[in-house]
Parts: sequence; structure tokens; C-alpha cells
Amino acid sequence: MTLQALTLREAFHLLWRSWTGRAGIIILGLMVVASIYTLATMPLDYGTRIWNNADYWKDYPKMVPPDWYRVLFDRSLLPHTVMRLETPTSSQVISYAGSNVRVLTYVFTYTYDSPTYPQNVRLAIYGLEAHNPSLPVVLTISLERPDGRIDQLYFEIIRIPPQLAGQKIYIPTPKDVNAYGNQYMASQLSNFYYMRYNVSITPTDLAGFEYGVEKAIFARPLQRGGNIVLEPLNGVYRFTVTIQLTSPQDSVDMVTLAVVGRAYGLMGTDFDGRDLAQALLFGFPIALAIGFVTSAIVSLIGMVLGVFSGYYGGIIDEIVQRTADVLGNIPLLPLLILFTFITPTNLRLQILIITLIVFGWAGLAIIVRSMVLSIKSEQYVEAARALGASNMRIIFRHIVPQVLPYVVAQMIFFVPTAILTEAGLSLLGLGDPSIPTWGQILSRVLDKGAVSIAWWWILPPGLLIVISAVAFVLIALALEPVVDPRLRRRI
Amino acid sequence: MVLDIYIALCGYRYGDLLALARILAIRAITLTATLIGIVLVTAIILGPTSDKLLNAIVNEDVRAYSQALRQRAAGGALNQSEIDALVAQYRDQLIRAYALDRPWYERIIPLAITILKLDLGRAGTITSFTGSNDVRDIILERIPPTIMFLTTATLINIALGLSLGPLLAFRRGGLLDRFFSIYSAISYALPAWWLGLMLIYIFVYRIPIFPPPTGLLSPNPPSDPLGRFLDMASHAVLPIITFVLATSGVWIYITRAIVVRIVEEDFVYVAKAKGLHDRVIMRSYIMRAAAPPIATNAILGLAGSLGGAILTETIFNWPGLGRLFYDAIGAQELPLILGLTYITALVYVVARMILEILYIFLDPRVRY
Repeated sequence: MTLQALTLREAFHLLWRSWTGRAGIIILGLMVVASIYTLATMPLDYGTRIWNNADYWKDYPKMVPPDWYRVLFDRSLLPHTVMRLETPTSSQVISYAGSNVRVLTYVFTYTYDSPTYPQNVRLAIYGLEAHNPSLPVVLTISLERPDGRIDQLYFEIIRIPPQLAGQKIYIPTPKDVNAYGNQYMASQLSNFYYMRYNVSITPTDLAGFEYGVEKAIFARPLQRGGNIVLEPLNGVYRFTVTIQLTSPQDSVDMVTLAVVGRAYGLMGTDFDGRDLAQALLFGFPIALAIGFVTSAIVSLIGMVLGVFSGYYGGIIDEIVQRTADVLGNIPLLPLLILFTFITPTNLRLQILIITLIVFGWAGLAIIVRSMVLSIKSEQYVEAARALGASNMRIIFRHIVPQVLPYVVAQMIFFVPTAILTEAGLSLLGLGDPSIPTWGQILSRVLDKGAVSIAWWWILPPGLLIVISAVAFVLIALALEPVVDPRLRRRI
Repeated sequence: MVLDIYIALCGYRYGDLLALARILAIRAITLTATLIGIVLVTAIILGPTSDKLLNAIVNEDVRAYSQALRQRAAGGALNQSEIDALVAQYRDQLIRAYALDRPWYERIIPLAITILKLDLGRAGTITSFTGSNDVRDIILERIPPTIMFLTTATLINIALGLSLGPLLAFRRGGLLDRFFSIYSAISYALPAWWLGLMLIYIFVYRIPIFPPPTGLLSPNPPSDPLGRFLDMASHAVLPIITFVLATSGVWIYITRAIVVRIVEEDFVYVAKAKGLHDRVIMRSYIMRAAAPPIATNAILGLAGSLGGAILTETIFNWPGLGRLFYDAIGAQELPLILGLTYITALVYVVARMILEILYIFLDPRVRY
């Protein structure tokens, strides 16, 4: 079987025959499926619109392991709960200060059953519309605990600026109330603790580091050796949120109450509470695109220059080979660091790809040239020339088909180089932050000094980088005997 | 290898030495050209942005100068307008010295010379261990740790390649060979820095075998020399293990591939037919022929390892050039990054030069 006779179908079969090729193709196939799914379900501007949008992640727990870790290994972790109500539990029109106003009541019932406290409790009000700016919107939260009732856990007067009357406000960014560090709630809870348990903790202490409002909501105080400690109080908690609006036509789109837990989703969250599963998924098409675009262009340039250099010889050959020598002598990473550093962040990915292309073709061009030199002196090429075939015809009919399999193998071998280089540069903080990649997720670990804590933050992105790179290496290994007929009989 | 070089040198005649000198000269010229190329490319790329850099240097110098003048003026020697005139004159002088009065493309040569001399002014927030904020001081003191780390790891890699490669080549297709082919594939795909993160997580924080990555030494290092050395060694072990695990696969694989090719050559069959002992065939026939390509591989491998070292140092807080790169990026220090790019290129080119010279001794075909 000669190389020319090797069709794509046969090449695939040869690949499939070795276990390395099979494993590589299966992994690559899964990556392609993941990429298609991602492109179909996630917006292209995901990075700017969601990933880097701090408001989007406020309901999410920060630095927590995946939910399956909680289920399998650590049941003590509090699960994450977000309760949402689009229609109020009750709604009534009352008379207030001489006007008719609407009062919306939302009741959230939460069963607290865990030895750990939430990270935060966050109330969010979306899409509020108030028509009468002379009256304020009044927000109150009352809480029914297993051991008693706090009538006004929170109270706030929201003044609506006249120019916003009748318009929908708090959308998409909601009006939110956070238990974490909340002084008002702290003083109410301090009061409640004193009345109910005859224990006094000052509101400042209660809101401080030692206790924390988000804990105090779900705890009862205990006197222990002269110190007051909080102990989780499991049971049913009922949060009643009332929003007193300014006129009967007023409305609210949605109210959510998040009891921010200590485990989240498939892959956990990072320091900013961002869902790592989403970014990991988004990384698939990016990694494939970086890898394939770069390696395809590099291989094309390397092949064309190698073929021309070998076929025509003379001055072209001299220029191409000397340039390739110099480029091959240059350590790439420092230059890449320099180039991406001086580039604006939104162009860094392009600069990375361009630099890899400019410096990457040299090795291939040198090898292709030496292949062309031997093919050129074959008798059938001389015969074709004697018959009057043009240079272009000889190149495309006789030379390119022979070097192509080798070029394709090198192309596949170059894909991981591009992916790994992008990841490495991202690690140094030289990625394009508007496009989250696996490398950038890892770079944040280093920024935040979280190496000692977050296995779920370090392991998956790196593993994906390694697995995708391994897939290409395996395919390239399996291609070796396909490309080099001398090896084909051996394996 | 050392013996080979010695014998080769003893066996030279005068004409051979001339030829050797010529080859060495050509190599040196190529690599110097590469280095100058790097510096020129850097200068061209930095040309349009270098104004900011140079102006900062000029402003800094002018500020220091005017402060010095003012101190002297306090004694009543100079009045305000005289000071202003002197400062303006000094600024003009500097601007002409740095050729800031001409467009950047006319300044390429002076700029390249500036880079070559590492005369890149002062860093803003980063200082050297001795407290200097001169870019040259900061960079120069970071070279020894990098070389120490890189040399140790590369020597281990070479040793692993040379001991395992031929072994696998002889037993190709066997269980050990299959294992190492997978190991090589993973090793090629495994970024050393990620492996480092994982190993730190496991062996520093979960199972504390190694000290936390605080750099060369612990925060409170022992004062006696032996204690200091052991402390430094304990900090170096994990980075070196990481680096070797992540890169040795490729070395082993390539060494194996080179030996496999030679094992199938006719002269090896002839040697076997002559009834020579396996060990003799290995040493005098196979390894002698395999040495040059293995050395080439070592030359090329160094390029990759330099890149890997930058990232591995970053992860382990190892105070070499790599970690400095990371810090300089974080602090937005362009002069430092420029100097680092140049110096890493220089280290690489010098290392290549050394290996190329070694190569001449190993491969007789290069000599004649």
C-alpha cells in the first residue's frame, strides 16, 4: 500500500485499529460534542455578560465544593437554596397617608437542617414599578423562628426618584438585602436574644467576624464557660417579606430569597461565587478553536514554504531556511509574554495565535523541505517534467500529496502546543479576561492564594487541559505508523 | 562523554583544529545573529511604546538632578531661575542622549544598545533582595536560582533518558515499553505548572511532607551553612520532582526512538553476526551512533524546559527569572519584562552555544 493510495477512510481505519488512536478519537469526539452543546446553549459574549458580571453571581456561594461532594462525602455542609416567588403570597390594597397603596406579602418557608451555617441570606427584589413618587416604598422582613418571632428583622424605606416613577427599576440588577454584615438585623437579633434567652451580645459584635448575622439568624446563643457561643437551631424558618408600594397599579416582577449554602452545582464555585461548571463548559470550544486555528495555519504555512523552498531552491531556499534557523533558535515563551503584555487585553488571544504562527512554522518547513528534495529527484517527477508538466502541476499532483500525511500528523501534534501555551500565558495573568478559558480559571487560584484550599478549583480545569492535549498526542502517536510506512508493518 | 572530548582533542591535527575553529566561529555568528535579532525585534515592537519608557527614565533622572541642585541651592549658591535653566539644559541633554527628539524608528539602534546593556532604568515597586530598584540588579540576582533549578532538573532528565531509552528500545512492544509510551504521551500533555499546583495541594497542604512554597528558604531559615543548605534542598525537591515528572517522558521517548532507529541499522546486525557481546554492541556501536541525535535532542529540549521553568517557578515561588516574570506582570513593570525577555533569550542562546560545541565533539561528521 503506497501513501497515495491511502484514502481518508483507510487512514481512519488504521487509526481506529490502534488503541491510542481509538482513545484519542473518542476523547476528541466528546470534546466536539461538548463544544457544540456549549455554543448552542451559551451566549457568545458569555465572558463579558455573565462571567465577569459581579451582579450575576451574588446569589451564589463563594469558594464552595461541588454539591455531589456534599452528597457523597460531607453531609454536614449546608445545601444551597434559592427560593423564588413570581406572584406574591398575598396582595391587598390599603389606605395609607390619604392614598390607596398596594401591599405585597411574600412568604418563604425554609427548613434548616444542618450543622453548618449559610454563608449569607440574600433577599432580592426584581423589576419594581412604582407610580406615585410622593410616597416611599416600604420594605420589611419578619422572621418566624422555631423558638419565637422577630417582627421586624429588617426595615427599609426606599425612595423612588420622581424621574423613575412608572418605570420598571431594579432590573436586571435587583434591589437586594444581605444578612452578611447587616447592622439593622444585628440589632434586631441582639434584642431578640436578650428578650428570649437573656443573653446580651452587642449588635456590633453580632455583625462582626466572631458571630455573624447570617449565623445568628439560624442559631441560639449558649453560655459556655463565660463565653457566649452560637449553636445551630434546626427547624422551620418562615421569612415574611412585605413590600408596601405607592399605588394600586404598582407591581414587582419577582422576589427571591437565597440561603447561600456551602456546596454548589457540578463543579463548585470560585472566590467570587462564580459557577465553575459554566466556565469549564465554555472552555471547550475556546480550547478547540485556539488549537485548530493555530495549528491549521502553522501547518499550511510550514508546508507551503517547505515545498517552495525545496522545489525551487536557490535564493528562495536560502531565505526560507535561514529565517527558519533564526526562528527556531528563539525561546518562544518570553517573547509571547512580552507581546501579550504590551497588547490590550481584548486582543491578547489574537496576538497569541499570530505569534505562535509566526514562530511555529519553522520546524515543519525544514522537514518538509528535506522530504521535497528527495521526492523531487524521483524518476516520475523527472518524467512529468519531461512531458512538459508545469511546476504548479508537479507540486500539486506529485509533491503535495506525498508530504500531506506528514503535515497532517504534525498539525495534530501542534494542537496541544497551542492549547498549553494559551493556558500557560493565562496562568501568568496574560489571558483575555472577556473569554474565560481553563487557564484563566487556574490563574485566579494563584491570584487568590487558594492553592491550599480548593481542590475543586485546581483539579478540573487542569485535568481538562491535560485530557484534551493527551487526546491529540494519542492521535498523533497512532498516526505515526500511518504516515511513516516503514513503521506500519511493525505495529 | 568527557573522555570522548579528551580523546578527540588529543587526536587533532593542526588542520583539524583550524576547521574546528571555523565551525565554532560559524555557530557563534549564527547564535549572536539570533540574539541581535531578538533584541532588534524587541526594540522594533517596543519602538512606539518605548517613548513612555524612556520619558519615564528621563523624568526620573531630571527629578534626581533638580533635587540635587536644590540641595546645593539651599546654601545660596544658585537662584531659582538658574536652577530652572540648568534643569532644562540637563533635560535637553538627556533627550538628545536617548534620541527622544527623533522618531522611534531612528532610535532602534540606541534602543537595542540600551537593551543589550540591560540599561533599563528603575522598577517602580519591585526591588532586588539587596534593596536596589535598578532593573539590571533585580534581574541579575535572579539568574543563579533559575540555572540551579533548570540544570539539576535537566541533568536528571538526561540521566533518565539515557538509562531508560535504550532499555525500552531493546524491549519494544513489551509491558514496560507500553507503560512508558503512555507516560510519554501524558508527560507531553501535562503542564508542569498544573502538576505543581496539584502536588503542592497534596504534599504540602493535605499530607505535609514538603515545606510550603516560600521560595529558596523558609521564612526563618537556620543560620548554620548545613542547615541552610538542607532547608534550601527541601524547598527545591518538590519543584524539581514536578518538573522532571512533567518533562522526562518526552526525553525518554525521544531517546528510545533514536536508539530504535539505530538498532535496525545494518552495522548493528554485522556486529551481532561477528558474535560481539551485547554490552560491547550497546556501548561501541549503538550509543556511539546515538549520541549526536541525543545531544541535539538535549539542545532542543532546553528550549522547552526554559518555558516550563518560567511557569514552574511561578507556582513554587522559586525566586528565579520565571517568578520575576510573574511579579513583573502583576506590577505592570514594562522595563523589567523587557529585560527579562532579553535575558532569558540570552541564557537560552548561551546554553545552546555550549551544547553545539559539545555536539561537534560527539559527531565526527560535523568536523570534516
